[in-house]
Amino acid sequence: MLSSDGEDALSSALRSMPTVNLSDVKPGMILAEAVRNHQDQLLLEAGRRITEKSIRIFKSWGIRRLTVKYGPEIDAPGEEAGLPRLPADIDVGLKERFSDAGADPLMDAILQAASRQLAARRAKQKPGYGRR
Amino acid sequence: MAAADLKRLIARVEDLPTLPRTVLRITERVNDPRASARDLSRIITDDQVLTARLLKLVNSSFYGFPQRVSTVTGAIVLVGFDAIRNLLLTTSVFDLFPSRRPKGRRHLESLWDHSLGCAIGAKAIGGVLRHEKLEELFVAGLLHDIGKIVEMTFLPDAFASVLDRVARHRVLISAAEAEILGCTHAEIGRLLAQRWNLPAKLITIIEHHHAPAAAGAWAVEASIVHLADILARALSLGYGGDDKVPTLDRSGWELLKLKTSSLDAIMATMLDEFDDIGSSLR
Repeated sequence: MLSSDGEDALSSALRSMPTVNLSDVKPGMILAEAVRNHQDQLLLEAGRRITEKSIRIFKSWGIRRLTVKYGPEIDAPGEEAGLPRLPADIDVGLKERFSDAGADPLMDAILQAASRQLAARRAKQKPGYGRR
Repeated sequence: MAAADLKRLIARVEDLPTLPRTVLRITERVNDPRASARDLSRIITDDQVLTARLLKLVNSSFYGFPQRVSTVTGAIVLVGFDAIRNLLLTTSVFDLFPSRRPKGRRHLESLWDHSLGCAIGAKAIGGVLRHEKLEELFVAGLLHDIGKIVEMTFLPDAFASVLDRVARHRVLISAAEAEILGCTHAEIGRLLAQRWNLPAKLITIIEHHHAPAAAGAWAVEASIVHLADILARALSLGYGGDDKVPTLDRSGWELLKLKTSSLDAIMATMLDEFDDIGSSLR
């Protein structure tokens, strides 16, 4: 059970995620809320990447709208795949560079991907290696 | 920019260096249907620097040929005439703008790195999209910020003011240019590209790399360079004159029909190829 603070945080996080018509859903988007059919059977869990097949299934069950978050941050190679976190110095610089991007979901997807790739790169580098 | 200032700038563009004779001769031969790989090879091998660069490049991971390519003729046969012309053109461009000031040299090197990052990104995006002309995308990426070099070389004081404004107000370089010069590097780049008689496609991409949807028939290519520019900034490959990542143009992105899930692979390629190709072209 969530505390009321937890519920607030959750509902605020959900509010920031776009609810989109099924016709606008593209494979690769990440589901923010689970999708169930009218019999309350689970069709796809929250956090899963939407595929062409899942779109077909949603259509066949008459699902009209979904809540999604953009970007591959759930199941792209990242912490789950054992990749390191981005060191704080790069992380701060990266976020600073993106400070004008606001809440643009596309820019967020770029930021997340850059963060993962820079972390992977740093892990491969020799100690003391530095880019100009 | 006031009309008089723009005129003065255009007049200065007339003073800009022309392309090296070897590159011009190569361009002529590439356009000649009767030319053979051996004809082209003869012109290239006259220039030792170009020869060395070409061989370094074809042996880099950019092409990834399994065996070492040791002759210019072999390189031409493997990568093709157009690719050779494009690569020699781009490797020559940055040599045309020597900077006497140490600070200017540093800026030039950082801008070269940024341009190279963008070029590699454009080629990587083109690969994902199965674009037919990856070489062209690479060249367009390498030349997209050529207007900044003109500013650095021919308007050094104004360019210093632009950088100062970027640092003080934390704005994008284009905004600072518009404020101080009255025009941006994209417009100045167009002037130079026209002066060099570059293909219309390249001129258009250079002019519209920040607003790709306006590039008409070449909006897809301009959108690819636009995205590559943003990814190179996100990854801090070189320095394009500011520390900000501009917001991606939504209509350009939609034109590409790219999935956000492809971004990881594109950026991984950019990081991997950056050092390897960079040393071939520097």
